[in-house]
Amino acid sequence: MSYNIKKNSEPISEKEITEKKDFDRFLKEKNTSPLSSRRGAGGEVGKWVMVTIGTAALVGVIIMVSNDNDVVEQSLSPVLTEKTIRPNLSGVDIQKTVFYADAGKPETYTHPNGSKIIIPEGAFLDEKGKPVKGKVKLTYREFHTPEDIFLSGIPMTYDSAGTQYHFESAGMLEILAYQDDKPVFANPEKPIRIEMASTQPGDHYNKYFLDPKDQNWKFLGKDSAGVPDNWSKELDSLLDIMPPEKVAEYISRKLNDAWNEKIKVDLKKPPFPKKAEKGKFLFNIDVDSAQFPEIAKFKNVKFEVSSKNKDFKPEKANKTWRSVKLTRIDSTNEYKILFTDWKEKYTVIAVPALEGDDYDKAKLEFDKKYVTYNKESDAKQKEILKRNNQLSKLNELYGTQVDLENRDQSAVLLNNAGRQSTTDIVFRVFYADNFGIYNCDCPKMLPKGCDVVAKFCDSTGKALDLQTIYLVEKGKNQMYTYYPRNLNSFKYNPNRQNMVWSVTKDNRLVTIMPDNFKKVKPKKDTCVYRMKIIDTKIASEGYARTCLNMW
Amino acid sequence: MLSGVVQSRMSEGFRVYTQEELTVEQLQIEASRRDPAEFAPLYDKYYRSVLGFVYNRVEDKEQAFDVTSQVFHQALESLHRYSFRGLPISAWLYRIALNTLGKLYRSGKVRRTVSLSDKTERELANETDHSSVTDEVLFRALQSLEEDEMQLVEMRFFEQRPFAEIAEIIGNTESAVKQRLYKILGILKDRINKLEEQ
Repeated sequence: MSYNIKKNSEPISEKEITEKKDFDRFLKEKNTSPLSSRRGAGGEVGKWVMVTIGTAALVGVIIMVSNDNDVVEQSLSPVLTEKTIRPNLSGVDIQKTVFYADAGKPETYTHPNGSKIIIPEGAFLDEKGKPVKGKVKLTYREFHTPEDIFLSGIPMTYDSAGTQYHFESAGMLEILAYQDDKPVFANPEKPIRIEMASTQPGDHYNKYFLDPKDQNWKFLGKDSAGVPDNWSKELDSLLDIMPPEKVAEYISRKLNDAWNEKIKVDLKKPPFPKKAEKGKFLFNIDVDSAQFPEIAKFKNVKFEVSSKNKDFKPEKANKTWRSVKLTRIDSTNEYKILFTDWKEKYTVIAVPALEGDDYDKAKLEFDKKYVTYNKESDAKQKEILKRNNQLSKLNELYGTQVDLENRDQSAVLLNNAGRQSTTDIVFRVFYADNFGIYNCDCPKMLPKGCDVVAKFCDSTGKALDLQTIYLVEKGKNQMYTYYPRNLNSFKYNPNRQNMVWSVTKDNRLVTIMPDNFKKVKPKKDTCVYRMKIIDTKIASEGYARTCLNMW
Repeated sequence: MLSGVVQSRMSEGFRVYTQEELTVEQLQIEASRRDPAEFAPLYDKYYRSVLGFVYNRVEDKEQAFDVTSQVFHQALESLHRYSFRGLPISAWLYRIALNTLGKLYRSGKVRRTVSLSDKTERELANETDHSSVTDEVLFRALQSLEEDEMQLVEMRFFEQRPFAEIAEIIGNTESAVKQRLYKILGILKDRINKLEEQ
């Protein structure tokens, strides 16, 4: 790296910052920026479509397993191309299940592994956006293991905020649809619900859709492992930062805060000036403006004796008192005034009042302030109302969520009996409003422990020219993708059982298994891995799987 | 520091935040996830510090403004992925800035630039026990650093960021950052020695 060194550079002035720092403009740019992604492209459906599992809507299943891989090659979708998912080993790909659906009817298909594809009526559109009629051919496949993922060639890196993550998978699926060998499109208004059976438990997974346009994974939302996917963004974001049981507590706290804010607004109300009443006794006292700002606001304010004083003695007002103590009587505009002398104490209840011009001026001032106060107060009240509504909505959603979660868990449990005997299966729910590849994964950083320069060579020590290198942690559904450009920082966890899989330019599989990987010790921060090259032709998925776990 | 002027070292990065401030920030992040317009306070709060961070690493002001804008766009796009780890969101923003800059350097759109001032130069010279090193020797020694090493030197010695913040920005542990910097200082010392012998 060659650095351009600048010394004592000219500082950026306040004027320059003010000119450029404009949040409204920034937000406007954001909405039109190419950086703003098509979030929710493939599954973030605003509307929850409840499909009861196991109802009479179930239609006979027509499933046949395709024995060749011609399906994609014969009818390439203009959206999902070979470039998007090119298998690592040319000629070996993950089998697809092919089935047919009647576009005019709701249908449900059960995959041999227990996954369900629930297709609503009118789920397919042609290229002009018109509903498709008649039979539609669907191809479906799932990817659950590192072998599946490696053979499929599906990219397993996720770029977020410029940081590259590597997916730990809880399962992926691909669903494509055709009519007369031409691709048909998913109707975003009637998304297909896919309940993918996964053997990876855990609630730390997110859902993504592989956007064929830029071949990047688009974040769809948090996975709820079998829970109906009607989480609002609000609730989702709350759950990102706190456990579900804390959400309700948090919402109540927020509602309380909003209420407290309302009280604060009331206290800011400008004080109303009182006109001195004829015939009522008035007297002067000096008031501490810091202690009683509401009185100090008025000029020449006097105190009018309240009619509550049954035996007020006017002569007491002419006396010089040693001290005067003023106390506001709660929820009124009256004050209790305690006069103290060496020998005597005298209490009067009085109200601040103004006479003549002083009152007129104060009233004018009050009217002006009250208009402003009203505006501010209205705006504030609206703001509070808006927030309260949001919070109520959130609270309601939380309640609905809990309810649905309970219902769905029972439904899934009941349904499990008919699907799989194992209780380790969880169902990851997707709403496909786009055909392509969906995944339920958790993005991870590169492993920690060792950071070396990696060199891959054959048994004679000759360097191998590898395009993509996959580091696989055995026993975990985790693959790390390396390219020749980043092999100078090859990170791995020495406490794991590491394997490396790759394919040479002439389509030969190369591997190093955990035992051999472990034997390689770094010399001056460099590890040289002697890879096993599988010279025999690999023509089937089964043989490829065997090779990936041998030697 | 002169007020109203972005300098190499931005004060926001060094402040110790109270728990209350961090909670407020968390709520602002949470609100921004629901409505991007709620991102305004965070944008206002960190614009200058991110701009300063970027400006130290690019050639001119225009590039600095452009990249800063990209950083905030990226941040807003990725806010759903942000997880609070007890530090202000600035560390995450700096990490985005580093990644954004990395991409721009690799694409050749922006030239990798290192900003030095007389003061930071003197401090680095002292750290390497070469207080009388010439500009030329120091610049040449710096050229020998790898990108990740240079990043650490910039953050620690030129911008004087705390280890915890550097660790958060680069996604490593504090102790690893300390060890790495110790090693880098050794490399720089050796390099300066060799250059001075020539």
